[in-house]
Amino acid sequence: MDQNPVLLEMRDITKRFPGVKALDHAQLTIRKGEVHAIVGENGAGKSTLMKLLLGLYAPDEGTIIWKGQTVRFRSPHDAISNGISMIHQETSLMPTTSVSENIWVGRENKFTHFGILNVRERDRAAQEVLDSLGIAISPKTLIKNQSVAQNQLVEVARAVSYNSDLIIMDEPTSALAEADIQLLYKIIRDLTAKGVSIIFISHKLEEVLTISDRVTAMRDGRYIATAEAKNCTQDDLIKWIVGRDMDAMFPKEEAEIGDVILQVKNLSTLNKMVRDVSFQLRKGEILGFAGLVGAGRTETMRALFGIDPLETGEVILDGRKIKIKSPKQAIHYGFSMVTEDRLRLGIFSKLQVKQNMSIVYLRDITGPGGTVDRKEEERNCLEMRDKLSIKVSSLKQPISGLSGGNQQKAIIARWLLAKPRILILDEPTRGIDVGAKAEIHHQISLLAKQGMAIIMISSELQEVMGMSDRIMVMREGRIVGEFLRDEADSEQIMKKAFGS
Amino acid sequence: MNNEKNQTNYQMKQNAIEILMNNKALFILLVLVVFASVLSPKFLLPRNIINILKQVAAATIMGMGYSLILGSGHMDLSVGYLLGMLGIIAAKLDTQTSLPFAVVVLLVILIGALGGMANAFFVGVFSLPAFVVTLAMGQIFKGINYVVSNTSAISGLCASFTYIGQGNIGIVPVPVLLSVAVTLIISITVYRTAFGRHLLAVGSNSDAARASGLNVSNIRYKVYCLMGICVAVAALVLTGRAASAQPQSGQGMEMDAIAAVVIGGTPLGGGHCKPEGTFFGCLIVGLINNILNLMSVNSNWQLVAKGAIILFAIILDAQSEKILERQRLKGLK
Repeated sequence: MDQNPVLLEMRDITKRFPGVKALDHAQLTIRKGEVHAIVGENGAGKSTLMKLLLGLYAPDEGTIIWKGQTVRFRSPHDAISNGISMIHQETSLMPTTSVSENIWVGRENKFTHFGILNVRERDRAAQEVLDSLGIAISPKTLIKNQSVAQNQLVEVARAVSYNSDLIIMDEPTSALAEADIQLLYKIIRDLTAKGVSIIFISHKLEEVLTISDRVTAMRDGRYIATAEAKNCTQDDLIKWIVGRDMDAMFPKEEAEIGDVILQVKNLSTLNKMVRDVSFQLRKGEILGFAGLVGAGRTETMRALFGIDPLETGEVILDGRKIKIKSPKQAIHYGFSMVTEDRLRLGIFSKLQVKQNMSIVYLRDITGPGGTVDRKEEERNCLEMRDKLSIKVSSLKQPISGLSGGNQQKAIIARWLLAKPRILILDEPTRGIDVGAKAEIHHQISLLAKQGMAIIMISSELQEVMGMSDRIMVMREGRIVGEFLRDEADSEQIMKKAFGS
Repeated sequence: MNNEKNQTNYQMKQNAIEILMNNKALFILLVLVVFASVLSPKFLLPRNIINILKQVAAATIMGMGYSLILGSGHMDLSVGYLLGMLGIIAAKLDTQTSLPFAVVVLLVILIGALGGMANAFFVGVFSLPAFVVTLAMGQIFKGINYVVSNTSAISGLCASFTYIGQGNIGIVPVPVLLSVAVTLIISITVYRTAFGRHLLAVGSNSDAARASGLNVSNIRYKVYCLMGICVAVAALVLTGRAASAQPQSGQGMEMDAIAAVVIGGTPLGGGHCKPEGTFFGCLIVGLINNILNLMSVNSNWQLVAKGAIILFAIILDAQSEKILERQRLKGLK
C-alpha cells in the first residue's frame, strides 16, 4: 500500500468560523486504492475537512493537491466532475421519485436524445449499476417506499456510478443491518481492487479497524496521527481521540448536594430511541450525560420534558409520581430545558431579544386584563442581560442579529426567568466561542451552588467531566455507565460510549 | 474627524432607511394623498375623505383579524365567503324572525367565531395546510350562503341594522368609529397582551413555541376565532351600508385583505404583526380605488390595478427586508 501513488493531499488546512477555529493545520493524505478512515469526537473537524474538499467551504489557509495538482473546488458539482463523490450521513434522496431517477439525477442528458428522455434506457443503466454492486433493489421503486437501509445502498450506488477516483463515506453503516454491512464491505473491497480510494468516516472503532487500510485521528480541528490499521488497537484510537489534558476552563465550584428531587425509572420512548433509562437527580447536583451523538441523551430529555411521548416509565418529583405530557406541564412542575437545537426549538428569529427572553415566564407578569407588565419585563430582562453579560445594542433588536453565543445566553436567560427547580441543558455551549463558554460554565456552577438541580448533556468529554458531579454514559438508547466525579476517567467513558 | 462625520452621516442614513422601511405604508399613503389632491381638487373635500373612510371600514375590520392570522403564520382564504354568508344570515334573521336586533348581532358574531374555529379545527386536528382547508371551507360557506339566500338579495332591514352601516355619531360615521375601535382593540392585543406575544412566537417558530410551554393549538383556535368575529362585524357593517344583503358580497375580499395587511407591514410567513399598518394599508387600497374612480377608470381595469398592487406590496416587502439586511451587514463592517 505504501508504494501506491498519492491521490490526494490536504496540507496545513486552517478554517476559522466566527469565534472558533474549526480546523487548525489539519492534514490528510490519501493513496490510490486505499480505504482511509478518519476518526475523532463530534466537533473534531472531520466534516469540516470533507466540506472543504468538496468545495462547500473555502479554506483560510492550506493547500489541496489532487492528482498532483493544486486545486480548489468551487462546489460539490465541481468536485464530482473532477472525480470525488460523497455518501452523506443523512440521505439526500428525493422521496417521491424512483431509485433510477435518484441515481442519475443531474445526468439525464446521458439518456436524452433530441430533447426526449429515454426512461427505459435510464432504468436499464441503473439496473446495471445495482447488479454490478450486488444490490437487490428495483430501479423503479420509489424512495419513500424503501427502508432507510435500502436508501443508504441507493446512495452507495449513486456515488459509485460517477466512476469517481475517491468516494467519501460519512457514517455509511449507521443505518445498515449486519447483512447490508457485509455487502457494503464487499463493495468497498471491489472498488479498491479497481484502484478507487475510499475515505471512511465512522464512530464504530471496531469497524474502522476491520475495513480500513490506514486511519487518521483528529482532535479539536488538529491532525493527531495517521497509522496502518493493522498495527492499531481500539485503545490506541481512543487515546488519540480523547488524549488531552484538562485545562482550567471548567470552574465547577463545590456545591452542597441535597436531597433527591427527581427520580426517573425505566423510561422508554415510542420512537425506540430511549430504552429503559433510569437515574436520579439531587438538589445542587450537576448530572452530566456523556455519549456519542444519537446515543439517546437528547431523546431522553425530550421525553422527560414532554416534547416526545413516553412508552413506559415513571417520573417521580419530590417523592410524588407525575405525568408530563407537554412542555407546558413540565414548566408547571418546575422544569426548564435549554434544547440542543437552538434554531429549530430555541429562538424566535423574528422576535426581539427581550421578547425571546420573556416568552416562558410571561404569564407570571401578566395582569388580570391579559396585559403584560412591560416595566417589570424590561427590568427582569436587563437584570438577566447583566448577569449573563449578553452583548446587545438594545433588548429590542431582533435576536437573529446576535452572535451564536449571545443567542444561547438569551435562551438560557429565558429559562432562568421561569425560576426552575430542575434545569436541563442540552449541549449548552456547542458552537459558541471560548469566552461565552466560560461564562456559561460559571453561571451553571453558581446555579448549582444555589441549590438548583441540573442535568447537562454534552458531547464534549472535557466539559462533562469538568462540570459534572456525576456522569451517566449512554449508548444506543441505554445507560451503559455511571461515574462519580472523582473516579471519572476519559478513556473509560469513551470506551463505554463507543461500546468497546 | 472626517471619519467621525462619515460615521454620523452613515448612521443618519441608516436610521432614515429604517424609519422609511418600517413605516412604508404611511409614506405610500402620503404620496397617494398628494398625488390624488393634485389629480382632482374634489379629493380633499371632507365629504370625499369621509366617504373613503366609510368605504374601507369593513375591509379594515376584516384586515385586523387578518393581521392576527398572518402574524401567527397562518392563512385564511375563506373569509370573503364567510363574510357573504354572515351577511345573508344576518339579513335573514333580521327580516324573517322576531328576534331583537341585538340578539341577531350576537348570533352572527357567534356564527362567525364558530366558522373561524372550524378552520382552526381542521388545520389542527388533521394537521393540514391552512391554505387548502380554508379554500375548501370557503366553498362550504359560499354554498350555505346560496342555500339560505336562494341566490337572491335580501332587503327590508330594520333601522338599527342600516344604522350600523350608514348612521353617524356627531359627524363621524358609525362604520368608521367601529373600524377605529377594532383597530385599537387588536393593536392593544398584539402589543400589550401575553396572547399577542404568544401568537407572534407561534408565527415565528411553532416548534420552539411548543417547547417554550405554549399551547399552540389553543392559540390557533383563538386567532381563527378572532378572525371570525372580525369578519362578522365587517359583514354587519357592509350589509348595513348597502341596506340589503347580497349573496355575492365579500367575494374576493380576502385578496384585498391580504394586500392591505402586507402593504401595512405584516408580512406573509408569520412572526410580525402591525395592526396600525393594516389600517394604513386598507386606506391605501381604498384610496387607489377612489383615485381610479376619480379618473373614471373602467372597473375591469380596476381589478388589474388591484392585482398589480398586491404584487407590488409583496415585492416591496421582500425587497425592504433585503435592503434592511444589507444595511445591517454594512453596519457590522
